[in-house]
Amino acid sequence: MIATATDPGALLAALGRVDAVGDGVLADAQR
Amino acid sequence: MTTTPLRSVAVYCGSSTGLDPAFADAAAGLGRHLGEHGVRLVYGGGHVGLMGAVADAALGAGGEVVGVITEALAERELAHDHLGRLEVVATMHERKARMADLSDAVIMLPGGFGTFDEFFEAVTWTQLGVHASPCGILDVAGYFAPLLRFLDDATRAGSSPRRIGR
Repeated sequence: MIATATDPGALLAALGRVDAVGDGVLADAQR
Repeated sequence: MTTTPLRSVAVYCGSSTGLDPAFADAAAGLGRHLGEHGVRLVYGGGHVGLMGAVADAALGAGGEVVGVITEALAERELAHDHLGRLEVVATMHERKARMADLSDAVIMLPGGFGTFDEFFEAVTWTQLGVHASPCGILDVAGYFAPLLRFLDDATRAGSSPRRIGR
């Protein structure tokens, strides 16, 4: 549910992949 | 996992620039990226601080920008004068709800209590299924590192949803 990145493009790409619906998923793009 | 093209992103950030110039650079970089990729920026409607930086960069890149500001803030002449669309609402609650309605994803940049409140309300709405917006943090110069550590601690304590992808 929360994606993190240090670069705008990486963050937007991660947000496009995050399944926001469901049991509360926390994704991490670039750590 | 689903892959959904983002068309409109709400950005929450400070009305000051903060002390680290990297914050304004990151805000401008995000705004420019949104504008260049045809993703609409929805933000708090101000012309100052990181809000102004992200909006100016998006506009400079030819992007569509929608501001949502409260009457009180607009009366203090904090509203951006060059937006394609500026919506003036009565309360902070209406502002948050309207920004959520206008966007299909949420991003937090450095900011203070107002930024934190707006972002975590959006996260909570996603968690509860009030809306389906994915939420992200642009971690500029390590600003959010302590918060991310705390979120990890809260997850380990069983008080917050699990993480994946790491």
